[in-house]
Parts: sequence; C-alpha cells; structure tokens
Amino acid sequence: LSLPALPPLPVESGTAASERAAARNALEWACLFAARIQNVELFEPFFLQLKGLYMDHGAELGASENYPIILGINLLHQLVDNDLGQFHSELELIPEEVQQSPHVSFAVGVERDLMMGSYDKVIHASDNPPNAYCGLFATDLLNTVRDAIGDCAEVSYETLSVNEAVRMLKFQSRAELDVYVADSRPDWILEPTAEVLRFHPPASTGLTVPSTEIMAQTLAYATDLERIV
Amino acid sequence: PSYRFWVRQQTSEMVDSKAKGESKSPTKAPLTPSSADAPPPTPLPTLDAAAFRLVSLLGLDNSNQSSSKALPSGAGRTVRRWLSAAAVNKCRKLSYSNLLAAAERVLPPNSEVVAAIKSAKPMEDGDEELEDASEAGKATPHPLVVPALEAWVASLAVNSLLFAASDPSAAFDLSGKCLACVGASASQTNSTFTPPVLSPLIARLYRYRSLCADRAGDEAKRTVRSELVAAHRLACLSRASDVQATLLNLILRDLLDSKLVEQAKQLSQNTAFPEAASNNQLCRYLYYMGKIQALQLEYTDSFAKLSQCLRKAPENTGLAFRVAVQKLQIIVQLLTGEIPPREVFFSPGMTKHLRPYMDLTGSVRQGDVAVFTRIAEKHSAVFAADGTDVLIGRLAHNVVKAGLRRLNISYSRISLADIAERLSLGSARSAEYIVAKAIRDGVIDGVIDHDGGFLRSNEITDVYSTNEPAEAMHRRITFCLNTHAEAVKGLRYPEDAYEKANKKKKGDEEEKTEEEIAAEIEEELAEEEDDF
Repeated sequence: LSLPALPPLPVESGTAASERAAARNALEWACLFAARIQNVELFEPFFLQLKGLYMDHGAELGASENYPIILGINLLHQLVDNDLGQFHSELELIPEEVQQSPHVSFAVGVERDLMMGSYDKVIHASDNPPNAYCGLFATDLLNTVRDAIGDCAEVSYETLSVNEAVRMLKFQSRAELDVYVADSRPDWILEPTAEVLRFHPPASTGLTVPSTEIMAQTLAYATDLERIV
Repeated sequence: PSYRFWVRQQTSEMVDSKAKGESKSPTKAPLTPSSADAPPPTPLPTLDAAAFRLVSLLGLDNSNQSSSKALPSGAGRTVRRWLSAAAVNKCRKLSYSNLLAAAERVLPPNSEVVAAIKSAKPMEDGDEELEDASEAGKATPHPLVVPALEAWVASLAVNSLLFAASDPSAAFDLSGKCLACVGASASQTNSTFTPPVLSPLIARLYRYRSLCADRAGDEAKRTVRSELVAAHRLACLSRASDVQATLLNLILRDLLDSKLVEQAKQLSQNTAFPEAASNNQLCRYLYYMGKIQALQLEYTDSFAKLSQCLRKAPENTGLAFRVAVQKLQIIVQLLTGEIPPREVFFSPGMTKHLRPYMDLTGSVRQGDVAVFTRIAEKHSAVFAADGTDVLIGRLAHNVVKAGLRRLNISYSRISLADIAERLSLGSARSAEYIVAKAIRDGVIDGVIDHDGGFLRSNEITDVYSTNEPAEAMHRRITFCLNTHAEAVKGLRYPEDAYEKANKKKKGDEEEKTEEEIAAEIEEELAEEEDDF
C-alpha cells in the first residue's frame, strides 16, 4: 500500500487530497489505539507523521474532531516525561481556538499546577480527566508527581512521621512506602523506633574549602592577566 | 589615512555642490557643457546625482585615467558607506514616476530592470511633478557598475511600491523579477558567486522582499521561505557576509512568526552568524536568539543576549525595535525571578509603551496572584500584539514565589494556613506543597515543621563566612576579562592602512643613501641645539 501524496515529499496528483485524508484518519486511529494500550513508543512515531499532515495540509483537509484529543494526549505525554521545552514548543504551535478545548486546557492546567507545586490539585485533576485516554496517563502522572514531592520533601523537612509520609506521597499503605524508599531513595532513613522518616543523615557539615575550584579559578585569572599586554 | 580623507572631501564637495546648485567636481564636466561663468545650473535630480556619486567613488568615471577592468578592492565597503549617506537616502522619497524617469536616464537602455519597473505600476500622466531633469544628459555608465545601480534602483522601486503605494503583491512580484535580473547580470561578470560590490544591495533587496511577503499573504510567504534558504546557502559559499547575515535574520524571523521554534533553534545551532556583518544585523540576530531561548525556557541565556542586544542597538534610530527588545527583556527578567529596576521603565521615549509592563511588574512584586491575573487580563490585547502573552502565562508561579519570598524574609515563623490566606493559594495542604517546591527550587530558605503546621525560616548566616563572596567575585572577574578579550578582538584598524604605510616607508627609504641619512641626523642634532 503506497500513498505517494504524503509528506515529507508529497507527489501531487488527482487523488492527493483523498490519499491524505485517508492517511490522516488511519494515523489518528493508530494514535488513539496506542494510547489505549498505553504503549508510548508506538504513539510517538504515529503522532509525528500525523503532525506533518496537520501542519502542512491542515487547511485543505478541514478540521478533524480527534485533533484536540490527540494533541492533549501528546502534551500530557511530554509532561509526564518532564520535557518542558518540548511541551511549550508544541503549545506554541496550537492555534488559539483549539487551546480552549477541554482536552488541551486540561494539559495546560496540569502543567501550571506542576510548576507551582500544588500537587494535590494535579492528583485531583487527574482523577477527573476530560476523556478516557488522559485517564490512562494517570499512573504515570502519579509517579512523576510522587518523585517531585519526594524531592521537595527531602529539602524542606528534617523529619516526617511515617503516617504523614504515606499520606503525602500518596501511597495506600506503609508497605508501599517501604518498597519505594528501598528502591529509589537510598539516602532516606526509616527509623523504626520513633516511626519517623529522616531525610538526611544527621548533619555533619564542617566547612570544607573547595580547593580544586579555587585553584582552577586562580590559575585562569593568572593566564588571562598575563595575556594583557 | 589618505583614502578616508579623499572620501570625506568628496562628500563635502557633493554636499556643497548640491547646496550651491553648482557642479564643481570634474566628473560632471563632460555632461554639463556649461562653464564656470555661465549661470549656475539647476541641481541634478537626486537619483542621478547619487548614481554619479557612486560611479565616481568606485573610480569608474571618465576622468579616471586608468580604465579599470575590475572594481577596486574596497568596493563592498565603498558601496556600504555610500548607501548610508544622507543624499542617497533622500532618493527613497522619490515618487514612482520620478523614479522611473531617472532610472531610464541612468541605466543602459536595454536594462530589464527598467522594463520590470515600468510594467509593475501603470503610469498615470501628469499627476505628479517631475523633477527638473533638463541638465542631466544621458551617459552610459561603466558596465561593471550597472548591476549595482540596477539593484539599487530596483530596491528603491520596491520600497516605493510597498510603503508609498501600499501594494504588497505588486512589490513582491517586482522584487522577484529584479532579483532574477540582478542575479543574471551579476553572473555574466563573475561565476555564480556574488561580487562583493553587490552584496549590500542584494541584502537590501531580500529584506524588502521578505517584508512584501509578510504583507502579501500566505502564498507569498511559503515561496519566500525556500528562496531565502537557497539564497543563504549561496551567500555562505561566496562569503558575502552582508547577504548571509541579512538572510539568516530573515529566515529566523519567518520561522518565529510561524511559531516554529524548534526549527528556528536548530537553524541557529547549525549556522554561524558571520562576524563581519553590520551592527544592525547583529542586533537583530541577538534579539531573535534571545526570543528563541526564552521560548525554550533558557531564561538566563536569553536575558544575557537581550541585554547585549540593547547595549549594541543604535541610540538615535530604531526606537520601535528597542521598545520591542526592552519588553521582551523585562518579561524574561521576571521569569528568572528578578524584578527589573524602576529606571528601566522610564527610558526616554519608551515610557508610554512600557506602562502595562510596569503594572505587571508591580503585581509580580506584590506576590498576589489575583491582582496579577486581573492586570494580565486588562492588558491582554497589548500583550497579545507584542507576542509576549505566552511568556506572561508562565509568570503565574513566579508571582507566588515572589510573594513567598517576601513572607519568608519578614517572618521567622509563619503558619501554613496564613501563607495560604495571604497568597490566595487555597488550602493549607496545597500551600505546604508549594512551599516545599519553593524550598527545593532555592527561592526561600527554611524548613517546614509538618506537625506544627508552620514554616520556619533559617537563621541568616553571616554571608562572608561562606563561599558566596568568592563566587560573586569570580563571576565579576570573568565578566571583566571577557569584556577585555572582546574589546581586543574588536579593535579595528583601517584595512589598507598597514600596506599603505609600509609602501610609503619602503618607497622613501630606498632613495636614502647612507650620506643622506647621516646628513639628516646632523640636521636634527643641529635643531635640537637651537632649541636649547
């Protein structure tokens, strides 16, 4: 099955428009299918091809109703990957009207809450997704949020009682917390006696002199100054 | 150096002759038969005068003894300097019919450019005053300079069509035809490479073409982009730095207008901006780079580029450009978390334009999200027109951070509920998360006591006992050293000066023999004794 009218090297012919329309429909269903089976590696190449069709031939093919949904899925996917640069570039390319649609604005709202740090709003939002496909990202989103909360908590708290930790990190039970700490947070210390989660080993900060840095800097000054005639 | 002095002399002669209405320079002698005691002839029409000036500058006029087969080596620079002269700029105000008449006089009769100009706009007779052209004879200019004159006249015509007559599609077609003509006539003299004399003029033609394409519609825009890319490739090969720089800027502008930020970024990474380009082009390039980096969330780099752009921008002209750069810089500075100082908003000539931005900055400083959203909506039309609305949308969490910082500095302990209330954050729970994130981002310095439900600020330690001063000094020292290095690199000597000085010295010294040198030394000694 070969369709010569597709980008990147479209061959114009009488059937070009219908070829492109057919290709677009097929790719859209492929994207949605990939989202449904939660296979991200499958989603990406289809979306890229679809983007080519939207960008270059969007005018002649007319609006597609799946367009906002697929865009929303893509944006969420980038958020979950923490790829903010890509997220914003994609957002730029989306025209104004489509941005108002609930699918896209959902992703935008999630991004804003993530940046602000109101993670509870994020979780709350992901419990009410605008369409079924976004709901599929819920687990991934939860993991991302959990990592972010963990990072923040490390720096902000000295100790945290275990119950609070379970609640804050959105675990269902103590056991999950143990597993999480064991797997990905080796520097957290669970003190069984006091039922407390301590984030850093007790402070032993002496004032260290960063000698290598200072040496490197001073040598750089010396070389530059010698160049001044 | 004598070369520069000669040019200045010519300029002053030119200005004088136009002012007095008398043609003194010898180049005009073969054309105007009047001698010195005849009544002073009426001044040559502006376009002819400017054209003849270029011809004389390039040394290709009839009075020059050596009939030159090739243009002098500094031709590109000469043309650039000639282009920026005031008399030449006056030609921009010529009406279209004057332009056409002058073009017919100055260019050879079979020039395709003249035909293109004629066909681009139908002439209506008698509704514009023609300049008095009685004194200008018709002289065929030297063939080497014809492409340059053609390109210049073409650019004037396109300019007139675009701005005076507001006919972008006609201007677009005309510019396309003229570029083709100029390219064809250039390649007759040389292979496909652009001769340096044409380089500033072709750059100008491309710039007008891009402006026409903007106003002429989407079709024009699509064709122009691929053209610009192809031309850029050619310009890089022929090292025509003017054309290269202009085209790179035009392509970047086109990509940014169509919001293709990824492509713009890749283009900038794969190409090098030529160093020999003019200052204005460099300013534009810095602005586009700053914009790309801001959209890609690299705020500190973007701020550095935009500050550099503002420093290099010309002070007397280009106010609109500077205002645009200033606006972008303010927003980027807000996004890095710093508040721009007040004087920035009161720069001369910009106060009115920067008013909305000043209100916005005030609300960010206050740290109140509600006020911020209200102001952003109030001025949303202005921001959308400036293209900064996307960046402003990202400012929301900066507002919160600024507010948090103020609270943290003012209170040693503050309950999370209070924070939530002051900053309109919703519940204490979300306030807790937000504060935790702020601590992690380094915005505030403190510890949350979860059980007590409050935020405790850390004691302000003595800064001098940490490494902070050393790091700050290091930053300043590297900056100064970099500036010094750039200044040394930017030192410019007139290019021919060394050779000329060398030649003169060698020429003189060969004639001196030993006795003469000895005689000179004796004279000097005698003089010194006289002084005493």
